[in-house]
This record gives sequence, C-alpha cells and structure tokens, in this order.
Amino acid sequence: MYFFWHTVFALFIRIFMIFFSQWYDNDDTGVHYTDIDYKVFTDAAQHILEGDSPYKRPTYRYSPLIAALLIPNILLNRCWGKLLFSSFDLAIAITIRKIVTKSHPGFSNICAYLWLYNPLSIVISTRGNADSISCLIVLITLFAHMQNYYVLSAIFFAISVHIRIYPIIYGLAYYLSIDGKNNYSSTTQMIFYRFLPTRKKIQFVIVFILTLIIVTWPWYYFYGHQFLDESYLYHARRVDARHNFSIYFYFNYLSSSFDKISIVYSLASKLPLFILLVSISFTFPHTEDLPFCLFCLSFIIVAFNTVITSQYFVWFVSFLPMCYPFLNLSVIEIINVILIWVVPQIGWLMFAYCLEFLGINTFQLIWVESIMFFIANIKVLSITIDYYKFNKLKKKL
Amino acid sequence: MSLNMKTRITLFAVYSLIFVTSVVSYYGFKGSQDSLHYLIVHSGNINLQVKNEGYHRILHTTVTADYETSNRKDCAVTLRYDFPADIYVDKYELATIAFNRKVEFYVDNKFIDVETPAHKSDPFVLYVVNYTLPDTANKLIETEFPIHLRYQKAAEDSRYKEVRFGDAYSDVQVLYLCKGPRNSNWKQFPLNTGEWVPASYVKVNKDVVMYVPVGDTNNLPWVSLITHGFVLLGTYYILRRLMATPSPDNAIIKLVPVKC
Repeated sequence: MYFFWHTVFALFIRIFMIFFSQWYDNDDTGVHYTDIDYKVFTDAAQHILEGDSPYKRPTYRYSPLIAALLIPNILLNRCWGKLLFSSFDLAIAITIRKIVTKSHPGFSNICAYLWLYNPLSIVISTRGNADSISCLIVLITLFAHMQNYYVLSAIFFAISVHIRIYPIIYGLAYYLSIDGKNNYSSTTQMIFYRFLPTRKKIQFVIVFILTLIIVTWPWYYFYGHQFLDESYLYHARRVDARHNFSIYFYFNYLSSSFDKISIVYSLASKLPLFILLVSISFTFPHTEDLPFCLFCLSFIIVAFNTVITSQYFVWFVSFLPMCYPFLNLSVIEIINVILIWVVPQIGWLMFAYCLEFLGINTFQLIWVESIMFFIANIKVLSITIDYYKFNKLKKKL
Repeated sequence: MSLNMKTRITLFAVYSLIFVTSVVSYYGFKGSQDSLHYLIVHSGNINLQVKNEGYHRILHTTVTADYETSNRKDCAVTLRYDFPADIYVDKYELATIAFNRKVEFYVDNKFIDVETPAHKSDPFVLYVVNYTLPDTANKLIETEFPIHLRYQKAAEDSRYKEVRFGDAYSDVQVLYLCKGPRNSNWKQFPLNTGEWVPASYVKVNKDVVMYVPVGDTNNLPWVSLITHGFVLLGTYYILRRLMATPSPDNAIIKLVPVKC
C-alpha cells in the first residue's frame, strides 16, 4: 500500500512536469523542454491517420508502432504521448520492484523509488521521449528470463528489438545464461559449455526469430523497404557529423569533409566495442548477474557509440536500481560517482550552447569535453565493476 | 397553329437581340468588377532582419511600399525566398506557425533534408503567402518564421563561414494577385504559374550576413590520433577491470585482516 502511494505521487510529479512543459514551450524562442522527437512522433501519427506511411515524416526512425500509439495525440490531446510514456515509466518501477523482490526483498521498494524519483527518468518521459517503452519491454524480458520462462523472454526480447534495435546486444548474454553451471575448471571450458547449444537455447533462439518475423513482417508489408531502412539499417550506418556527446563527434565532423571513409576503417572502429560486448557477456553469464551484465552492455554501447544523446542514458540507468543491492558503495561514494559522471556533461552542455545558440566556434572545446565525458564513463563503469565483485565476495563470506 | 415565315424571322431577330445584349452587358459588368480589384505598387523596400544567434534564427521580413489598392482584402501578397543550401527550413515547424498565424508556406522541394551539411544539400524556394494586407499604411507585408543554418564543411585555417542572404535581386521577391469574379479562389493559381504579378520595383534594402562556425581540417591528424588513442586505452582499461578479480576465491587472499 505504501508503494502504491509513492507510485501515485510519482505520477503527479510527471503530470506536473507535463503541464510545465506545455507552459514553458508556449514561448517559441530559445531551448524547448519538449524533445524534438515528440513532434516527429506526432507528425508520423498524423501521416498514419491520413493513411500514409509514417516514414513520410523525415527523421522518423522508429517502429511504426510508436507512431500508431500516438494517434490520440491528434484525436484527443497533444499531451497523450507524454502521459503514455510516463505510465510506462511507472510500469518500469513496478517491474524493477518485482525483479529485486526475488533476490533482495528488503531492497525492493528502495530500488523502485530510485526509478520513480529519478530526475533523468522523469525528464526523459515528460519531454516525450519514447525510450520508456523499450526499457519496459527490456525489463519484462529480463524478469521472464530470470524466472526461467525462456519462451516468454524470447517473445519479449523480439518485441524489444522490434521497437528499438539496440537490445539486440543483450542476445549473447541471454543465450549464455541459459542452462549454465557455476563450476567450470577453466575459462576455455566455461566458454565452450556456455556456447554449446542445448534444447532450451535452441528453443530461445527459434522463438526469438519467429516472433521478430511475426511482429516485423506486417509493417514491412505496409511500408516496404523504407521501414527496414529507416528503423534498423540506418542505425548501423549512421555517422552524425553534428555535435553530440560522443568522443568520435569531432573526428567524424572533420572527416566528413572528405569524400569517403573506407569500409576497413568503419569496421576497425567498431572492433573495441565488439570486443567489450563479447567480454562482458562472458564475464557475467550467470542468471543472477544478468541485470548487472545488461547494465554494463548498455553502458558500453552508449559510451563507445559514434552518436550519443542524453536520451540514450536511460538505456543503462533503467538497470541501475536492480544493481544497487549488489553494489557496495557508501552514500559519499555514490555522490562521487554521480559527480564524476555529471560534471563533464555540464561542461559539454555549456560549450554546446555557445556553439548552437550563440554561434561561437567551440568545436575544439566540445571535443575536449567529449573526451572528459568518455574518461568519466570509463571510470564510472570500472568502479561499478570493481564494487559489484567486491559485494559478491561479501555475500559469500 | 403555325407561324408564317415573316413572324418567325421577326421572333428570331428579337431573341438574337436579347441574347446579344445580355452577353454584352454580362461581360461589361464582369469587366467593371475586375477593374474594382487592383494593387498598384509604385516603389518599395524589402527589409530583412535576422533575430537570434547560432544555428537557429528567426527571419523577419517587412515590405514597405508606396502602393494603391482597391481594398486590403482583395489582394494577396507572396514573398518568394530563394534560399541557398546553407539555410534550411523545417516544413513541419512552418506548418505549426501557419496554423497559428493564418499565413501559408509552400516549398518547391518535396523533401528538405534537415540533417545534411551545406555541401551535401540543395538550394530551395520558399513562398510565404499572406491573403490579407496589413492595416498599416505603407506596410505591404510583415512576417517572420524560423530558419536554420546547416553545418558547414570543415576547412583549412578557417573558423567561420560567411552566409549572405538577400544580396541578389532574386533572393527575395514580392508577388501579388488580386481577386476578381473569374479568379476569386487564389488557390487555383499555383505560385509558379505566372498568374502572380512580380512587384518589380520592390527590392531588398540590406543584405543579411550570418557567420557559421567551421571546423579546422588541419586538426584532423591529431584529433584522429587522440580520439582513437583514448578509445583503445578505455577498451584496455575496462578489459583489465573485467579480468582483474576473476573469482571470489582469489579475492579472499587480497583481503586485509582486521586488526583489533
């Protein structure tokens, strides 16, 4: 009952922020609170309502499902989508509570509050960002997987990949965690047996592929190759030369002035990311480690991506409440870690504002801040890895 | 009872007379109606002003002119902007403004890519149609809408690229069309068909000059080296953390005993 009232209060905070956004965005000038993508979703929904393709809206690069869910934005009220995303946000907190209850019942409410009152999750959903939908599906997948309902987890995994392609990076971790033992004599043996197909593993893969085809094919039928290209293939080839948090941004901008970047370089630049994703999947292959494993995978894909925007942070932040009981960090240490992560972002935002809204050439300063942010990301991830292991040791003792 | 030939000829002559006089009076009336709706622009100026700094600007246009009109509501005035590839407008953003302010925006390109840099983009033409002249004397049209500057190609030893707009006569033009019984619906006459009359004496008063930050390609070698160096170091550091404490059994040895 206590948790219920917290959920209601968290809903009111979100509703307040939605009203605030409506009031704040009335002024056309300056930086808007509402995400530009929210306008894109609404325009795409308008196209669907008119019987057209949502991809007629330039920069719409999501599953048509999101545009379809936002049709009431046109028919009822422009705030519908924000309310919908906020309700998904609350559902995430409930799922987090369910997952944590299994391992740490005493922590379940605190972990849910970490999401309910998280400024990042509040801002992201009330700005009209759709990532709370994919985050919820990802967490339901995780919950089903940790309960050993592999068919169910494969179904939700396919839906999450359909909505946003990034959860595909969790595939190896899910696969390795099925039918695994904890006592292997060597690393080679562990890798061999973890990778070896079993009946459940094959079942997981087949159900995943079939569900992905079932949920994807109808949209392909309606909107053709443009749907595949805009929703999925674009993200693989995307090189955004405009300023963003990524360490690669300035290099990409300068090199975009030349004719072509060789395909060998494109592949080579993805190699560190690939090595880290595989290493993390094999380092934390146990079912009980899955929340932390998925947190690390999400963190890596964001930190090493060629394009980073603040909406991507929600991908890994959504796993943090579930990792919290396993991280042996004091309050001061947690504040330190948050500061390490936030301060370079403030620096970056300051110089980005100077460039975008004042027209001052701050490209090099933004790039320096991007490097600082990359270093901060590496430091934060290494601290969480270290303290996660240390806590496991404590539990054994 | 049948009419004789003489009566038939007389009736034919009377009907023909009625028909001819009707047609003549109709076109006479129509011509007089056409002549009621007019706009004569003797001379004028297009004043361009850009508000804000950075990549997102507001283009404010005021056209002042010495003009005569039959009625302010009889004539529509259109501004035609020939934008260079350095600038783009967001059609959806303009649609919202059109909805709120009762002006209409038309872009000749079907698709304006809002993401590509200037050197990979095309110029385009934007029409801003206003169906009612403002009530202020000498002010023919006044409008503002957001424009955005594109990223520029990085260059050697350069910090800013100059983007100039309004320096050629064709950059901004004023067109008008007056209402008449024949052409009462303006939308029957698309903006590029020639029905709209250019106000040749109205010209841009002053250019708009904007400066866009540009990256320096001389930086590329060391930017490449440092970027990839940090990525490799970061990868190595994370891998080391992953392998540092492989199992709890090893970690027990590292524990410092508590001294009482």
